[in-house]
Amino acid sequence: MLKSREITTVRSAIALIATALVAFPAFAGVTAIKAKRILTGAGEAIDNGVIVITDGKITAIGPGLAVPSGAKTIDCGDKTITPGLVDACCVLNFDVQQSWGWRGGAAAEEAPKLASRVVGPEGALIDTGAEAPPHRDLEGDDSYYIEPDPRPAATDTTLCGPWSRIAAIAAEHARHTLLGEPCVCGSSQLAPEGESSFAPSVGPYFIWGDNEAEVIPHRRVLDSVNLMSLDFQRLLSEGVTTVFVSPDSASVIAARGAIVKTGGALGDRVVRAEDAVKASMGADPSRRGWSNQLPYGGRATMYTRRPTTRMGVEWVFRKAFFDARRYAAGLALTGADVAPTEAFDVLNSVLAGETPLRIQVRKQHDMFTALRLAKEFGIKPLLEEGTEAYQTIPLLKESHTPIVFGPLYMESDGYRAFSGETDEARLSTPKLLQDAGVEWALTAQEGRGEESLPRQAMIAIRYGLEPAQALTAVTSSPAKLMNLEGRVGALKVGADADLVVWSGEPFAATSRPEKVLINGQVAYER
Amino acid sequence: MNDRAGGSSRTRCAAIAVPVLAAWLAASTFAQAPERVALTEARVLPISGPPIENATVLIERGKIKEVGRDVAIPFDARVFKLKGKTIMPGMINPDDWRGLDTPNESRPVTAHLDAFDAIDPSRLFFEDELRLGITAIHTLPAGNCTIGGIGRVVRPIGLSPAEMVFGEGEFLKVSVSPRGGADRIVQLGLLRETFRELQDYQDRLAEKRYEEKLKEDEKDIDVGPEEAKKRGRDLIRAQDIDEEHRNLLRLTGGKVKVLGEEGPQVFEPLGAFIECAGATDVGAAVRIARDNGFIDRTVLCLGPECYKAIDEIKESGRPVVLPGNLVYEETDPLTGKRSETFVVTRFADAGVKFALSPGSNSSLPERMLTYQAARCVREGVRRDVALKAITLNAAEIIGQADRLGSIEAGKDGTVVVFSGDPLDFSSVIEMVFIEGIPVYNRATDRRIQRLISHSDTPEGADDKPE
Repeated sequence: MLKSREITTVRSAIALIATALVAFPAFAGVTAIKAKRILTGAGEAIDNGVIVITDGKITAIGPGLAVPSGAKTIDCGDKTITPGLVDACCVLNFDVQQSWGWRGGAAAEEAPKLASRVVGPEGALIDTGAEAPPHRDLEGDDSYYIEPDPRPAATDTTLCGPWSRIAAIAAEHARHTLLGEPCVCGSSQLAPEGESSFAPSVGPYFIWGDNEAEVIPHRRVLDSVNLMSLDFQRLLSEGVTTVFVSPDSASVIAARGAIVKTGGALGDRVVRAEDAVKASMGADPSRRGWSNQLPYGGRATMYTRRPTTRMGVEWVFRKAFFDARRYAAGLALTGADVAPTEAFDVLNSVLAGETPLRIQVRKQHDMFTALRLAKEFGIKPLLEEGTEAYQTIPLLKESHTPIVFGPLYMESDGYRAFSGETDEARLSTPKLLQDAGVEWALTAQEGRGEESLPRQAMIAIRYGLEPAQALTAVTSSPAKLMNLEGRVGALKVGADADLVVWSGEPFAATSRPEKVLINGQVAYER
Repeated sequence: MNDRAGGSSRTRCAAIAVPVLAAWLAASTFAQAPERVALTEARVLPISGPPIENATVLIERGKIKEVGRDVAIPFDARVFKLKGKTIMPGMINPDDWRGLDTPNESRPVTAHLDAFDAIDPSRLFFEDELRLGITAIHTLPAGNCTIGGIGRVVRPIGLSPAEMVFGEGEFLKVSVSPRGGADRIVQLGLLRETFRELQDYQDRLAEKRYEEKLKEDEKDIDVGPEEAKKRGRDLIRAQDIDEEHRNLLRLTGGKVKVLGEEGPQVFEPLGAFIECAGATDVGAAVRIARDNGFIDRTVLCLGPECYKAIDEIKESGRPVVLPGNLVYEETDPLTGKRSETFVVTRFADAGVKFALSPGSNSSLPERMLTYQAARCVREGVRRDVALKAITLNAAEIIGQADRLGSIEAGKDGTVVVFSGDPLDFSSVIEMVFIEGIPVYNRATDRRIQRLISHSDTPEGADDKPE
């Protein structure tokens, strides 16, 4: 299968060597990685390959390339390299502590590793000695700008800066307090002055769910994401380098997800602050309908209620997009539970095809509903989870609907187990999707450890998927579904140097990631 | 599984699944054991020795007759040609409460209980164990007890406990970790009290028996209570002791005369599977076992944190059953630094004899012992050590090494046929033989066929004659 490709690779490699020699004279900041086998994630295998990385990007890749003189060389010997894994529907794990202590002594040892220069109290710049420079503009989103700590330097540490996210929240909070405004950051999270801990690690539903309303696409999950969450370290140790952080499925049309990298300098982590809007069909929004609170408190009534059936969920979805159209046309909106106008701006960008829409579906009839609604509003959605996708393969194929499928299980656990939507799972679904030619990717969602993304690939291989197909399903396919093709998910020239060095055959039960690089920097080493 | 509460919610969810075992078992279990079975042309992992390529395992009347490359196949043997397949001994689940109807009695000290009475053959658990190649399960009460009763080793086939068990139970479940509602002071206090009460009980019995003897002999010698207790010890008969004390006495190795026709006998001693959830419990377990004379018959059932007591464990010389969860996760309370320790490596490096347990949650891979072994290899444990930990070590630990745990002449013809290497996750279990009887065939496993099919009428799920 690789024969003809090998020839092409050799040819392109020769070209690449030439390019490498001409374009990249030796200079600091160049890294070369050698390994016995490189699986590019785009279906190619390179024997005795070399990857040349310049400023965090791959600048050359091929068999036996000459290492630019002066380049830092990492020789991985007889190991195998794959692209960093990409999870297109990652649910940050509630079990993992979401933050470290605010002023803990050892945080002082850890934090400087995460950003090269940080802004300390009084705006003083502190050089931490880390290799990557902090990024100051993240696709126009300046809220991650590293802010000075708004609080007086009463603490024993000067490294409030690298906690840019926390500092940003704190700064925003301070501003709101100054102006006498209520703050949306969850002011109760902020430890009062002198208290020893800062703990945004309140309950999972606080972070991921939003019980206030069913239509909240104007909110961003990123505001809840603590980039210092230990869960990112865990993902990193499992070889996962880029994730779509999915909001909770408690709302019919939930917040916008974010795409972040799991490691590297904090300033470089956010790939896309506002990505796809996540909607959910089926039991997840409806089963929480009864307990959802009204904005002004009290229980839902028959006049102002949240959906409690699939019919209700579908109605909320339809009404939101219907209202969005009327809003765009300048018509009056009627009925209870009209979403705020900011939501309609986002929904209209979905209708215009500018913002992607994802719909979480498990049962086959929810998939039919989702695609019916999509057709009604002319949306091309990306489906998520798809427990019963094996039953709707012709539908997915005919409608050219892509799906992020997973996780694989015989008996589901976690919150999914209580939805009653998971009784009819099939272990062969990945193979069926692959064979049918459906555009799909594999996700572990909240699974970690032995249920993590590489283990999902392992299970998919056991139940019929070819190892090469499984690799694609956790690298280039999800990258494509996240519109990140060319940047992550495949090792090729111009892509981010995110890669995993495996101790043995990738996805074998007996092997594991030994080293993970993000933007060319070693982010995890066993 | 070292499951303090007697099962996570996930396990309970699994147990709720309706067992439809009976019909399927009826079709497979009671096939008559063929007189001779020859499994040929396979790669054999005997565990007790190096792998043998292209070998034959000859089973005669349920026992392995011969293993090797040049085994003459008798003309009347039922032959299974297994080219490209790998045969290994049936795996052993060393400590599990699942299969019993409830994990623990509500009373703390229930040494008189026998798992036999609670074994429920219709549990889906047994069907699943067979599917996963586990051919012997040491079914013990869970650790939410002080002294929890006697366990039994069972095969995952049969329609009644009597058909399933391997003889009498040999181990009592003991827990030094606090049971629900107790703390360690209470737990250890109660344990010590139990053994002290056993002494008192024997003293009372001895005194009573001495007085009865005097009465029988029509003598009236007052030697005082202390002397009477001493003189009466040898007069205690088996029938004098109630069941709870009998099992405690067997645990401590206490000798009691059974004045049968064949002369005086002593009770068979019992061993203990001692639950140690945390590292702090290991020292207490060893002390209790040593003080009460059963340290030589003790197996330590450890929680993930217990690797921290590795020196004490090594010094005790006792074998251990490791938990299904092989990774100890810790977040430093001061620094927030998260660490993960793969505990098996520590035990392997220390040279402690250990057996692995299947994971107790519904995680697809962890329920397979071969996967647990593969994880060990992933983390640097030697392959042969990992394989032993799911077969021969477990057999030795549960006291069944004369019958189980390796493919050697004289042992039970209980083997698993894999499609490839057992530690390769893509290998599947194609057949299982228990004592020469083909009890499992993947091609006719309705559940598996359904899970890997895409329709409601799975192909190949119909029972076909073999």
